[in-house]
Amino acid sequence: MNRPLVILIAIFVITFLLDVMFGSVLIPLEAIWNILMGHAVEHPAWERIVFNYRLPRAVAGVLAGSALGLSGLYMQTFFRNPLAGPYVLGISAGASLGVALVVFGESLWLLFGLQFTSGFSMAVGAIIGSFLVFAVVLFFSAKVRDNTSLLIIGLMFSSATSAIVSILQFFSNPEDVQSYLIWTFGDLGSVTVNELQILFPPIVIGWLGSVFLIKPLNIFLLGNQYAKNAGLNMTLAKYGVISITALLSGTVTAYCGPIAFVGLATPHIARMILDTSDHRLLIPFVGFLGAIILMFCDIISRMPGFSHSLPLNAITSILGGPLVIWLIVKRGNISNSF
Amino acid sequence: MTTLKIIGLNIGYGTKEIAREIDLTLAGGQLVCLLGQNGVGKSTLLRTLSNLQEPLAGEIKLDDKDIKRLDRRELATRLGIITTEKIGMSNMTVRELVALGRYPYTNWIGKESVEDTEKIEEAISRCKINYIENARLSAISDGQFQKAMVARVLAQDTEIILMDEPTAHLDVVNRVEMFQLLETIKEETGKSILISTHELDLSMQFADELWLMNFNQPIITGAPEDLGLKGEIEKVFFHEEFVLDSRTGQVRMKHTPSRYFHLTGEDKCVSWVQKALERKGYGLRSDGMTIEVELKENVLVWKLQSKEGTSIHRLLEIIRDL
Repeated sequence: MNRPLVILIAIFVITFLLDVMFGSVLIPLEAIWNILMGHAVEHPAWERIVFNYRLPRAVAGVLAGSALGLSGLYMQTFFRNPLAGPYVLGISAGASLGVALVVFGESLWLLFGLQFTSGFSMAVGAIIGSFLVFAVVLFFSAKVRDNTSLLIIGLMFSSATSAIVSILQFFSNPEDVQSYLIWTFGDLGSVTVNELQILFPPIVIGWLGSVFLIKPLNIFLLGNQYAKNAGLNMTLAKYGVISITALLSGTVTAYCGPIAFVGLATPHIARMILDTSDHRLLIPFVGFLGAIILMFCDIISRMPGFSHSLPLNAITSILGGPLVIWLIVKRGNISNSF
Repeated sequence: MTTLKIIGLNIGYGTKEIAREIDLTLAGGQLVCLLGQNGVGKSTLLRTLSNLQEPLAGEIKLDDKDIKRLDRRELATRLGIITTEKIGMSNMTVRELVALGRYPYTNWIGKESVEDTEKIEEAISRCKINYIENARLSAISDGQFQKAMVARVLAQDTEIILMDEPTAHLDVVNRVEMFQLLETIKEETGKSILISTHELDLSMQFADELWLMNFNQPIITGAPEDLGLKGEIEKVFFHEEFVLDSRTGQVRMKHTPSRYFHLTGEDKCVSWVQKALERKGYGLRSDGMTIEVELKENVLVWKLQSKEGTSIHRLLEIIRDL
């Protein structure tokens, strides 16, 4: 194992513990240890807070952060474009459309005798939405030869779906608009223990699938022609990369909302620290780094010591924006980081 | 040695046919240069031969086996290509790039075996790029990059190497070095190398065989000298306003000179003054106005009528004002 990764894992463990410790109530490290070991603690409420809120939240942060970072990395390599992230290919937009249809179409669904209970059905809507839009983009991907065209098709679908969402918003009542908006703010805290059980398997499948992407992604760095001449099964590799990306970012978006910047910025930071383009090193590093970044943003968004919390998406954007600008300025040219 | 046979091949994209009924054989251990004007389909042919692109008709056989029926991996170990596709500014090192040539041989995670490492190192030293082994691709010159690409295809260890314009963007030293490198590889490894190029003079010098590709005509093959003698090369690069001299690789304007001169004197001086006169569109004929040139203490001195001088620039000015 290399040193940067070992250091990163240490930071990862620390961030995870901090994420469990901090919140409206500060729970000391010692108490967390006792709770996890099953010993009694001075405030019985802490045990409930840790098991029902803090731990699921931190675990959701780990799952979501790593998934977003990895899908950003895969998109950037696959499209050989430093701007790519889960937002392209319409994945996030598709999820938003799915959620919007669930939230705003409540009365419409009732006509068909369908009634949804909020949280879970929003997630299902998001997953179906992201995969549907994705399937359409995939259909077009067979028609275009280069990856940049695919990128543009994805962006066009994103704007089309956001337009539909805004039409839906226009005709909906304020309460529905508000609950949709809250979803777009992004939130790790909305993930319950039950939901975590559903969130867990797809992300783990995505992680395991990533191992098989290492070699294809490395040859994709040379472009499609060289990848093909090297004997890569292009169709399999393309669908492999695309579906693992959709699985990872689609699932996360469904449960935690469209979280910005983690997917875009994490791979760049990882490449800068490691100074390599080898995915054997990048994939584990990006996984841990994405989790750290998202948990860190989550800690800040909860404003330790206050009873209120800020939208997670606002924090990732406020921190992520300047970070990406700093990265570009430092590198001089971000496209040579591949 | 492997031969690549092309039988009744039509190439192009979709409904747009670029060249048709190509019948050729690339024999083992040969360096073949594919020459032709821009847009004649050289790149398309190379891409089709390496199965990056579907042929519109016909077949391509590697030792009597259709490449389409070859397993993807097997083809990758027998035929390598260097295209003109840009890799772009990259954080990858030269060593990592060359190592990617071993892609068809490594296991599912891309781990190098002892043999892989040997082949990579052999390829690097054959291309003499050991000194930049750990340099980033974004930090090396075009010439070094092209050598690294050759090392990558050498590491791929294929019997046939196709290369699309290996000397594009290279300066004269690097162009010659590239041709030398390809020749050495051919001599030492017995690989067949087919390159498309615009370097007429270097092709005449290094190629075992030329393939001349012209619009709507069958590809003509043969030894460079035979084709030069028959005037085939001039035909391929036919232009209304100038002639390409296949022996020197230089162009000569076709238009009739506005004025003729007669040059006498020392050989070296004559050839440079002649060059200057031709550049300005003047011709040489024995009944033309006489210019005498000679070398005095290593300085060129010209005499025209009553005038005399040392700078060719001045001579051209005087001629212009005649």
